[in-house]
Amino acid sequence: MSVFSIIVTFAFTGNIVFIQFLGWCPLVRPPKKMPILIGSACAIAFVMTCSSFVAQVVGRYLLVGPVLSTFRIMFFVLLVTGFLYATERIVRRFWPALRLALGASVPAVGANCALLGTVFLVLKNDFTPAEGALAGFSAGVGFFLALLIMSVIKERLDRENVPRALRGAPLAFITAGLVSLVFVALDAALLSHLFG
Amino acid sequence: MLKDFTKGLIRRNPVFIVLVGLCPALAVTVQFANALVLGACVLGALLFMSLFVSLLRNFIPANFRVPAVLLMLTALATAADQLLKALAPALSARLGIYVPLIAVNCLILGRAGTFAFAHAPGRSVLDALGMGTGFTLALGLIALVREMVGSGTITLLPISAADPSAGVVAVPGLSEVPVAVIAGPVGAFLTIGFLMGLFNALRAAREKAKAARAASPEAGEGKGRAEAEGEPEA
Repeated sequence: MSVFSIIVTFAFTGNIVFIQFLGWCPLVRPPKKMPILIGSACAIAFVMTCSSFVAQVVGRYLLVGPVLSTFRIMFFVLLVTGFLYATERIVRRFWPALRLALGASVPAVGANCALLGTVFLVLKNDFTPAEGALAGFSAGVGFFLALLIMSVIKERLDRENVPRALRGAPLAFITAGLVSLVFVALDAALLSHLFG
Repeated sequence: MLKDFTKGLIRRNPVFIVLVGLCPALAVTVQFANALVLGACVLGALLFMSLFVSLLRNFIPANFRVPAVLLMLTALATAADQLLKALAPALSARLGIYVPLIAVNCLILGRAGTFAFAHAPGRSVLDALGMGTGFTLALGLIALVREMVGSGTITLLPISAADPSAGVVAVPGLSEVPVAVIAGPVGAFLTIGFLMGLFNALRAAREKAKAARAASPEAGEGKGRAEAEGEPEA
């Protein structure tokens, strides 16, 4: 795959949030403050990039064959959790407010399905480690986009008069459904038509 | 005791009320059979997880709870993945990354972390059975709506790789003109959003009936019961 098509696939046409349905725990209640949102998205993109790179190396060259490949899931969970823990330690030092935002959902983030899902999705392709890192980063960009879109729309919707039963999570999902139409429309054929 | 089981079905339904395990609920509900199989995998993993955690709860130091739970669950997820690959390779390919993702399923981690660490094995297993069944029912409901509207069919078990049309029931009137968009991501989000809204409305109605009954014990009793019977979900 070319660099351009990797970015487009993992950030838009295969967006982990709107197309692959991953990472919904933080998205039902997205962070309200913009710096916190950008900070947490950067932290997640960083973890995705690093873990996709390492997973690509290990999954392609080390954990192969019928016996060793059984240990893939365990290794990837440890890898993702390890990177997340390290990132959290760094962030704790330099930006305590962000740690609160990340730490509020420690079990959710500590085992964030978006991170592990990205690793699996990247590994399904036959990438070199560098391409894997790029794909992980693109997935992080896609996650940032989703977080931004959902947060901004939710802020506006909170001021509207919504039927009581649909307030909160139901409305978040209905919104997501309409947004995902955009990501479905941005399919590979359209983009290759536009950009050649 | 029995409440540990029944609360997971409707009142504390993991998907619609507690809002956990949403990723698989969105992703594998294109076909009814897929949803049931993934629901069964999660139910099995949750059952073993709750049993092991509640048996070992006095031996795991508080600092090691998170790593212990993660490692146990990855082992169970690997087992589920390998079993499904061996027994039903076609289904395993269709469920894709969502079977390995049981390793970080927030429903299982949540139940193991909160309930099983605090209760005896008997109650933990009942809780796991109830929550797992509630999860499977929720997935089945979403998939039923999505497949009937989106493809006009209902895919039942067992699916054989040789004859894909076996076990597929066509819904008259819908199979000729299916609303294909409901089978895509859009339909996943809209279906789950509106079903959640329905569950919220039912819960609000039931609480209102309960409050009315509590306010006027003689007059409210008959009315409250009638309302409760009127709800198909209750």
